[in-house]
Amino acid sequence: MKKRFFVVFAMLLLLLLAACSGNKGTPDSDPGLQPGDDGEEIVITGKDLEEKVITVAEIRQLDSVTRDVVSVDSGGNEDKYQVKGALFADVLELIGKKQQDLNGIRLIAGDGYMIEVPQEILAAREIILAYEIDGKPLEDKTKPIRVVIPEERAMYWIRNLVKVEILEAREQQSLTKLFLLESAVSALETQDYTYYDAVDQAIICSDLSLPAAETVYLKSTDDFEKNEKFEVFAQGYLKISGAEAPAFVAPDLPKGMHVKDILYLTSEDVGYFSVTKGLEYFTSASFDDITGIAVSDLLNEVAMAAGSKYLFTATDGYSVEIEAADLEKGVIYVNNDEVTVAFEGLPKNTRVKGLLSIEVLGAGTVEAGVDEATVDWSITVEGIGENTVAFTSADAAKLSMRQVTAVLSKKDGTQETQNWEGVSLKDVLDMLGATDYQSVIVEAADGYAQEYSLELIGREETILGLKLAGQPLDENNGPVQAVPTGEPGNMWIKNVAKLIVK
Amino acid sequence: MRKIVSLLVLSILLLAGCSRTAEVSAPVKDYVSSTEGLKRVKKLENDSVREVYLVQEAQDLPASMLLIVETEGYNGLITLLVLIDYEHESLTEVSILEHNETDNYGAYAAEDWFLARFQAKDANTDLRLVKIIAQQPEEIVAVTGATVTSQAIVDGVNAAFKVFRDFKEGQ
Repeated sequence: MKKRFFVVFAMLLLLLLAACSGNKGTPDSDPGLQPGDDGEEIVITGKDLEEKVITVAEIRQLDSVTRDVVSVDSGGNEDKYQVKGALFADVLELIGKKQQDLNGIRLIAGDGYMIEVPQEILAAREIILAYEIDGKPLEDKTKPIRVVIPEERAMYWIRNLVKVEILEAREQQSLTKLFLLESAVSALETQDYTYYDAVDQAIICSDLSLPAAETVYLKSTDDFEKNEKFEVFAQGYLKISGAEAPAFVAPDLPKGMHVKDILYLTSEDVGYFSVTKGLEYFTSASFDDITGIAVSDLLNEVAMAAGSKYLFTATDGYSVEIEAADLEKGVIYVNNDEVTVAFEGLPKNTRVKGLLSIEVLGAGTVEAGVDEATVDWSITVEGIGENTVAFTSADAAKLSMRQVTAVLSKKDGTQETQNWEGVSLKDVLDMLGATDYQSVIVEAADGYAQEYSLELIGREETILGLKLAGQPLDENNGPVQAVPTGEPGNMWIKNVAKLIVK
Repeated sequence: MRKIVSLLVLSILLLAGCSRTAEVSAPVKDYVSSTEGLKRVKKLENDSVREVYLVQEAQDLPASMLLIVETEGYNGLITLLVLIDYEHESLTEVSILEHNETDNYGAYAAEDWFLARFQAKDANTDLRLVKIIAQQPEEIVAVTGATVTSQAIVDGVNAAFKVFRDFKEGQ
């Protein structure tokens, strides 16, 4: 009896040991897998890129980082977390890409929320694919991954990440036609739109005369900028009355994708501008008893293409042609609920009531006397090989022109937004064959110089500017001015004469 | 005639239950000025409709059915207080007793302007959540960015309506 008892006891003991050793084996076989990770994955796609599925288990196997972070939403509310995850840069390495080289990515959540992360953020920030927050696994609603980009607004910190699209380089296009929103919507069918406690008026975005493109660019009066997929935008509404109007809203889109207080929006070379918001946004211009928005400020802001003449057209079809040189005299204002433009010193018949649109005539042509093609220039470049080389206007013509909206911070603390065209400094260095450098000294004709770091050179917005507001630079600033967007004024070098590659 | 009979039945039920004020929960005590004329009807309660009371007509309230309803929101349970006018068979008021919805999103559904959309709705017709604009009397427009929370409140009110209808049909 005793013997049988010991046999049974021994067998039970063996079974228990076997079970225990089996449990130990599970993590060895898949050390990244955690409870609840089964089937969790994200997809990375892009043009010329085979769709790559990466599981959370694979992400866990990458080197982890832990960061104390603060998210700040659009209302200024702060939340502090400790997050643990892998770096997006490490995930990109798995598919042979470098974060710094990307032009942009689009993050897409399971509920349809999506947002573009621009190149300047990709170049400067750590992007964490978090799988733990405050020491705990993600909640089901947040799984499989939460994106965390320290120092950036919470709108980029998307939960429930399911897809990352790698975006192609996108050329910013000058506008050839700009509609004044308040006049344009008067001809469109509006409908009631319940917005919180109010019933406002809205139009369907697809009713706007915008050319179909990959994205629609939107800018708000608080300088918030966003690129929205065209098909997403076209399915939404533009709320044109009530709180926060004009606002891009859509009942089936997550609230975070709405854009309020829109100053203007563009697609390809066509835009819509809100005069009501412009009156709040710009420093007012006036003459006689008229106060409003300087036409030149407006056209600079929206990056209107340079032309010899501009056509101002009213809702009733009346139109006038204005010489480019006379744009400085124009003021757009609201009179008896009508958007109106008037030009100081020009005949009264140039005043257009019910202004519907402004169109460039002869885009790409410039009046005699300011023909930039006749201005040849050359910049000396040192530090590439043993000999000094030159970068010339002919070289610049071979590179793609970039348009950037740059904010110049002046010594007195004020800021000025400028629309520049020029060539990327990095493109210049690439063209000249510079490969192994850490910085570049940019020197003016008078010997004033500043050193640009590798990070600054790598920014797409750091350009050698050739045109400001569509016009070639005058002799005080040009023919070439270094424009390091986002940097203080002392870093902007006029009359660039020399580059020293270090 | 039917209404008179209904009110008579309600009065008899209330008279029979006047002594049971101990079964009145704290939120309901806070809501009514007096527990006099209040009767809990446990047999009507279920997993969602946690408490049901019949309320005798008083100075500040019509003869009513008062219900405490739990409904699943975006961030957990939302507790509603629903008051239905017994005679007019319409919703007098819905208010939120407890919720954990996020400030920037679902919490907007607790605002008076959203809850006012439920007032005077016919208790004999289930409500339906819609977006943008209400076109029918039974439609409730969702709060921008808080569809899940809005739907939860509509579901909770519909659960209360069902209890109310079942009770009246059983009279």
